[in-house]
Amino acid sequence: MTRNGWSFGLVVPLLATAGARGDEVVIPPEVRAAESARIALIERIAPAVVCMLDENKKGGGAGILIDPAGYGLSNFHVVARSMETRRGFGGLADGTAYPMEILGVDVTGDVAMFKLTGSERFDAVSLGDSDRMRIGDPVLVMGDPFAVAWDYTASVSRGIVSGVHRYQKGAGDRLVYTDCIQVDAAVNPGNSGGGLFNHAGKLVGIIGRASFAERGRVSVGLGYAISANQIRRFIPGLRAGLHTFHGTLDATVTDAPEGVIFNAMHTDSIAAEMGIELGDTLLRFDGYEIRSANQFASLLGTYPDGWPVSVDYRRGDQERSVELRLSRLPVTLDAPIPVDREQNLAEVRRTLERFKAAVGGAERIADVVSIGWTGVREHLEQSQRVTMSQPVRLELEKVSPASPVHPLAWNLTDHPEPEDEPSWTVVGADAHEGEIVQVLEHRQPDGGRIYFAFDETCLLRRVQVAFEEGEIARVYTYDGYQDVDGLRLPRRMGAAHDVDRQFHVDIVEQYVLERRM
Amino acid sequence: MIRSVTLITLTLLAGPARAERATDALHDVVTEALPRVVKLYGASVGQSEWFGSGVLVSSDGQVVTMLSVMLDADRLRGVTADGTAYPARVVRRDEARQLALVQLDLAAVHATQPPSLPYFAPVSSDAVQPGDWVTVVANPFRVAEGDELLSVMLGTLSTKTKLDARRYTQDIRYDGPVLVVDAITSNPGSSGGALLTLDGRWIGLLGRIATSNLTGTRLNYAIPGEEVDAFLRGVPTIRSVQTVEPIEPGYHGIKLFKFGFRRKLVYVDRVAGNSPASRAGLRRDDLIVTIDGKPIRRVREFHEIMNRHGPGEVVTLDIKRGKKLITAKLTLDEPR
Amino acid sequence: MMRQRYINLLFGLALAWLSSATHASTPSGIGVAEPQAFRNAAARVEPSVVTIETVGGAMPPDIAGGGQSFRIADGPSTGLIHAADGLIITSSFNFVRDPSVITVTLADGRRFVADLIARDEIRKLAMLRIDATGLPVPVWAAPTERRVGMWSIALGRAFGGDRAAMSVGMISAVGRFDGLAVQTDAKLSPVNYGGPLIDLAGRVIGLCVPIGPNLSEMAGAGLYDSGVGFVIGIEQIRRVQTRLARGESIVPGKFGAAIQDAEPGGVRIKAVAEPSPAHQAGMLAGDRIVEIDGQPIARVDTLMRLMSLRAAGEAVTITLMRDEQRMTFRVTLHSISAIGPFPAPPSDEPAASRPSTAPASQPASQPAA
Repeated sequence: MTRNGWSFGLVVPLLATAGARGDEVVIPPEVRAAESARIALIERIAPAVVCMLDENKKGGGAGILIDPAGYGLSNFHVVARSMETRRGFGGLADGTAYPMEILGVDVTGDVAMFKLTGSERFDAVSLGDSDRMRIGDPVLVMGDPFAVAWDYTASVSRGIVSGVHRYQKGAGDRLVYTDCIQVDAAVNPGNSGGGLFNHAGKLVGIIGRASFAERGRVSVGLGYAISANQIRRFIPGLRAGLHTFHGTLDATVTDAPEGVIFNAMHTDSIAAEMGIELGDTLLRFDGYEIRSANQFASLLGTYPDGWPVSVDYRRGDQERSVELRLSRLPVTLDAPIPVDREQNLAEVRRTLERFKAAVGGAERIADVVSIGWTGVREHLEQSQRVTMSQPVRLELEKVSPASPVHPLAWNLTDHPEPEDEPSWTVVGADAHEGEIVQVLEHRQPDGGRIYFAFDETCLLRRVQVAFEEGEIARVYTYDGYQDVDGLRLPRRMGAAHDVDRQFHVDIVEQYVLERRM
Repeated sequence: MIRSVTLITLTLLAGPARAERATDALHDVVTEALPRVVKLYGASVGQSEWFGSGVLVSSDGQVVTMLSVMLDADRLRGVTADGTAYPARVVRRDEARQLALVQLDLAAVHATQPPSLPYFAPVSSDAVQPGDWVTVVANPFRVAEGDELLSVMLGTLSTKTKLDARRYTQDIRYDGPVLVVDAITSNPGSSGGALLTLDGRWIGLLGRIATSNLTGTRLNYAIPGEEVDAFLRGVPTIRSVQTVEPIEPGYHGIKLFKFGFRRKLVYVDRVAGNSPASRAGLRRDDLIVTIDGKPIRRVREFHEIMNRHGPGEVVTLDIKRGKKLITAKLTLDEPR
Repeated sequence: MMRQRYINLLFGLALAWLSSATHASTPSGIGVAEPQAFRNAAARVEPSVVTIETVGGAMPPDIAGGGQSFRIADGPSTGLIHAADGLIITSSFNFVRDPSVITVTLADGRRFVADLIARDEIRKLAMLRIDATGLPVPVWAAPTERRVGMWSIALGRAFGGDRAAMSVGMISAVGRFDGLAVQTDAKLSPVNYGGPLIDLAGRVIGLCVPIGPNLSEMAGAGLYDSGVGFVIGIEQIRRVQTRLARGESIVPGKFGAAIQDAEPGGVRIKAVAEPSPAHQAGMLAGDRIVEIDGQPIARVDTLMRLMSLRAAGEAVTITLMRDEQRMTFRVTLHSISAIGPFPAPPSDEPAASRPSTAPASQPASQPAA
């Protein structure tokens, strides 16, 4: 029975673990090193994994922080229960449940963005290039399967990439997973919204689905993640509290002997409007070779509404190419999702503040009276050179085709006042020269609109001006900064141009600052 | 302190670099393997059609897969890596090994110059030990359609053991050893898929969805490469479940309890005098727990096993007497 | 001595680093070294792994929970030597049938009749005794030696044979369920319930058991092979081994109240069973529980979690509100079998918290939360 004999038997092994024993296993250094690397990697990522909780702190699903300011990604179907109040909590590995707000959502693509508050700085991960994931690559999945993370410490599972560019049918037109990454790491209910990480610890996907068998809702080795590259195109809009939509051509293609051909098209479709006809063979979409109808459907599903893409097609023996913007793909909703106006405004302020900080900071700008801007305006047909200089501090009523305005300069010297704020909105994301930008719209009192496009680093890339209620009339593009009297002002390379190509302003662009003494 | 930092730095440097090298290797192996496994589609089941996987074993389109009635379909077809669908038919069946050979009709699609398809030659599973990495190439849940690549999983070899499993209520009549895999291969569409070593050799064919009789849970198993090889070479199987030569069973002298609550267990009721059982020391109320190492739980099992041993054969019994386990060796007599 | 070890380590690592720098395109490097390391680790603990076989007993219930139900089979199961003088620790899952005969076969082939002396229904453990001495006891990893991301290999004897079947995974989380269990993504199932989960050094991280997310009876087995598996570590076993070794089973402790969520918070008692610790202490239907052992209780979920780890015989302090008055009771928990019926049928038992499920349609794959 209970003797010292057996308790001694237990104590000895426990003591034995402390020192070396004759029969100790020798572990090859490379095996140890690989294991240690994985342990270290998980330690690095784990603080960024969020256990998604509803208003009552009840768990179900995960999220991943991608910005130290507390922004994170999850699935729409994880936050759907909280859409009425758009409030919840995010549990982190430090054991704290931080207040959470749901920002924008992508219902078609099953993505949502949230923001945690309650800390100066959150641990976050960065997005990786999901296009570089190959079959066989080792991956880690982190989330909250079966809601067992009572202390908000996420669960980790390991596996490999089983397939790429996978298509998983949705529930009707919602939660469609196109071009997703398939993995064999354990994915169970509760892993949704969690992260798929590559061997370098970059977030390459958001896990959201799994194939379940007759056994029930238990992992059988097939999990699916929305690719990071798809999500990137939606992030600017999601951060701004928008309900983002996916894009469509309003046309379908099918496999045929000669290739992938357009076999159905809405008469009002953007495809038809741009001159594509039934029977045309689709060759490339946004630069990607199109091999099959399925592959195209999967690829198309990664693009937002309004995205600019090039479509290369063949008619007969002639190859043609058009640039168009995708139309909006509608999605069925139980209830319409209103734009989160507050979030949108917060994002406007955040972007403008970051931009001003990049220029030199609000303090440095505060004493600027005017930014003089000199450019050369050339009339295409008459090759006339006219030098214009324009003091800035504009009465915007004066904006008209006759008085070219440099909206950037206006923006620098005027700080949006609360009364101005309703006129500012983040309208979403766009592609500019292959990069993803966030577009802010400023509505002018006379009905004109100016669109500012900022890239990830808050570098100003493009400005579009629409006069009164008309279409975009003028476009300015920027590619860097130049130092002007201590401020870093956007520098333009190449011509700004009027959309109707009548006028363009030469590349010589000078700023002259006038400061308050 | 500096030493520790150096160690840690070296460790971390060694880690990720290693990972990349190993995955290059895995990716290359998988790239080579994928075109040698095909998607199979067969008989309709209600609204949907049966789907599975198969491994190419010849350049002219012979495919090995698991035997199934779903292959007996007019619409049986195989789809190769480039998405070409070929009509197919079963050309050979092996009930004992549960394998089928299917021929893709290449000429039906390519009137002239049918392609020479890449294929696998089966390798003996002696090439792997438990714990070794194995890769799985198959089409679970028909995730891949047309020219889309099949799904790949990475697992380890769990063990090699005799198959003791059933499909629904019927035992699978395969009498040989199988490879049990530490990866979920028991999924719709996976059967007939390829089990490979980490360096790309084909060591097993994924079995059909089955439940282990030992655990009651789904069994992830593969028919070993040497069995597939024997099948392809037309080697008749020696092991055969159905044909057991009836022999005259030897006499043991044990009479078991037949009635009452003890019916389910194998208790000794009487031991005949001057019998193998009495000579081995068996007594009334002994509980027979195992015969030749195999646990038995029913009177029926006792008789089934004992009837397979003839006179002169030695049978080892483990019996529980009180709290002790006693081993008894019986040399069977001529029938009385 | 230490210096020599450091130099050896440095040399080994430098070698590893150098060899990784040279082109090793075949998997002959780590792809072969890792499996060998797994086998070496298994070999170290194999002498302590036993095969358990059972004969007879009642027809087992179907196991449901998480997945479809499955019927418990009667193949061999796994256990681990716990003390040199004949104590075997395993999972209570292996004895759901209440078998008539239990045999234990050691790694060296010797077979013994075993007595099932006690069960721990909270940790899903069972303790057996065989009449043997000088048995090889395994080495256990200390709690501080567990790290998320470490290799973890589950060993199981269900398939018989010379060596245990292996399932390779890693530690997914530590300190699950308030420190009750360690989580792994190795495939745990009846193949290895009751067997060890080991690290690369061959030390036991924990004993494999079928614990489910709500810690209920045997529902955890419904999650077999899911990649979410739980093992009980040595520090937990040490808490109960004395009681188990002397034949004292550990069962969940209840105080005998039917409960539901209350507004504005806390848990309302809907009915009090009789007899029960709650009844004996004078708790009444209508009382609103706000604290257990000083921990605030906001919802039924929280209370269920706190109580799920408590055993019969343990005492608990319950703070509740009755008509705006704060009252405190100290009760000793009883097993369910010692608790009587409720006076009026309570409404639905509070369901354990579960993540919300997906939209109803049937796509090829489903949203995973």
